[in-house]
Amino acid sequence: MDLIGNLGIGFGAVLTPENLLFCVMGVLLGTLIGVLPGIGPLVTIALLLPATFSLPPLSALIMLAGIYYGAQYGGSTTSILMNLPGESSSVVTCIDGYQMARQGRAGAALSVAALGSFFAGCVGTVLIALLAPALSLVAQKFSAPEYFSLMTFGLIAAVVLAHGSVLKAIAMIFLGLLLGIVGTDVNTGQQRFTFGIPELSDGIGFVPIGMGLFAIGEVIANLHNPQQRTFVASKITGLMLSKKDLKESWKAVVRGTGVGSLLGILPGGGSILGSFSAYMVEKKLAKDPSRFGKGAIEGVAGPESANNAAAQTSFIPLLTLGIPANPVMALMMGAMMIQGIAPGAAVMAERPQLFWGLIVSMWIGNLALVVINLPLIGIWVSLLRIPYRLMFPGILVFCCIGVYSLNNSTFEVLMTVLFGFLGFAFIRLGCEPAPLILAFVLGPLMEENLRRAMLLSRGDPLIFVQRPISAVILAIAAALLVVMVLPAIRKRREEVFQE
Amino acid sequence: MIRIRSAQDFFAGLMFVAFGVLGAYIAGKYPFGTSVRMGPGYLPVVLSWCMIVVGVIVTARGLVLEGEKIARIKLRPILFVLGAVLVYAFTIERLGLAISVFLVTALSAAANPTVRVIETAILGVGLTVFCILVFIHGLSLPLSVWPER
Repeated sequence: MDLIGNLGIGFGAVLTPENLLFCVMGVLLGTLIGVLPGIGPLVTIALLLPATFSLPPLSALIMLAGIYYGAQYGGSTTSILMNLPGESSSVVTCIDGYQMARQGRAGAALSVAALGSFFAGCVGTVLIALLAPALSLVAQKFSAPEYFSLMTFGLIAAVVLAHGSVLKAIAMIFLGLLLGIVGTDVNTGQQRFTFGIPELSDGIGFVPIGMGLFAIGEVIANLHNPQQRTFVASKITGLMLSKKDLKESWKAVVRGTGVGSLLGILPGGGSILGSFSAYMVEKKLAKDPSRFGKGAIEGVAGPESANNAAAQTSFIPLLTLGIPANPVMALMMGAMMIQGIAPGAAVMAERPQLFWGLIVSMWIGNLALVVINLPLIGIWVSLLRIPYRLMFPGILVFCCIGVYSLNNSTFEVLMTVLFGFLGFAFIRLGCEPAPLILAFVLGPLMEENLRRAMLLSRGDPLIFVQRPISAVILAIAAALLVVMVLPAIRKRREEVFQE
Repeated sequence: MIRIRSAQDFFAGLMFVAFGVLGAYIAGKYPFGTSVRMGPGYLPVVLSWCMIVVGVIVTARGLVLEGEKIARIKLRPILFVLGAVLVYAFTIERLGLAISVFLVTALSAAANPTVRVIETAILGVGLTVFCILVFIHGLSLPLSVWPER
């Protein structure tokens, strides 16, 4: 069978001692940084990106995949033990995970998160292997209007997912698109918004924006309110799950995996949408919903599995269409470009070893999580004991070195300062940066496809609804928008974010 | 009497309007083109105007609807954190990794009003050694450790 043959190619490429070593190193480093409070996978990957520069392409991608899963698991650990989510997708894990930890069941929560993630990772890997070839056939039917509609859909989904005001999220999208325009216009060579600065003619770097908004801005905000850290578990015991735990959680794991894999494929969705939906599903299906919020193991198992499944399947749009579904994927895309790989359907056809190797390495990364991270949990926990006043200078130092080393560019460090300030301003003004960064990434792609589509249709905007695939995508996007504006749903959405 | 009911919305709206006006003004100078052949100015101008419209609505909401205040803003963390990163930008090429990292650590630690001098010094040395080991020896990044002569 094709699937097995393909995965065979992947295993053949990955299973060398060096590659396995890079995978394990990635997982360890990812967890090490990801476990630090307030640092999500995005910042972790950005920080560790320079570490992969000197490696050959496949090893670099393998290490990055390891870093990604390690970072996610590190984030869950912090959520469960300290009630401090590193990124929005682990907000849900905090709800019941932290309660479990307070009841002395931190070990069980951490185990179920790891095992659920592993199961989801296995399913996600098989799904990618099955779906990617099929989807890359569909992708051949895509031309400019479809690409544009799909990315519009992604941005609308990002608005729906943003916390707080919908209007502000929309404005952040526009701002992100404008920031994406900075640089040389590909069609005419016109310099746009460059203020005569030569470094800006290639556009603003993704890493300075991401680090500034998500790491530096966050550090400044954290320093404003000295946190009372409520660190619960002094010692993690009971990593083994009891029979009762297993019985209660395995269905949640399966359902979470299903929900997560499905939602992860959608652009703009990614793991946030997955974990939120999985939590709602579990709460709906539970015989006694009042247990949720008080340490229900399903409330950890479902979202954590969904989170990981979605993290896995969100590679699909990147690998088949070349569209990053979320900011983390944008960073992965950047990393691939640095290695001279243009993500898209061509990679699968032209460099099967690389493509299947990447997919297999995702699975190995997940395996490494269970085998290495769980036994090392004591080390990760002791990291959490480091007081913030000692931690944030370290975070800043790593940010500086990470940003500078990307291009050996002082200018990018200066941009990080600027966006750090903006990031803090956004926090104070209640504007969530996630939609901005996605729009920033998709902006140039969208403009190019919009221009092409308009050329194709001779300026008739109806082209987007006359082509069937594009029309369907836009219809779903419109439905999403309508649903969001309906008062009943809006209230619900607020409730979900409240929790 | 006009009163700001939600400072968050009011000022966020103003910020968007400001960015929008700036964008529309600058991009207004680029060739606009037609919708068939969009010029480099087309999309930025359209986006800037969209942002101005949304910004005005957000500002107006801040005047009409009750909402969140802006939480306290302290100058010290802002200045020291951003200052530390700035210092890195200006020292890494001239003074090398060791001195830069130490300076960043010391400056950023001062963002905390209850900074402890000895502890910070130890942290600075520790981080410097760690960074040299990891980034220079481990990852062989092309950075010099000491000032270049």
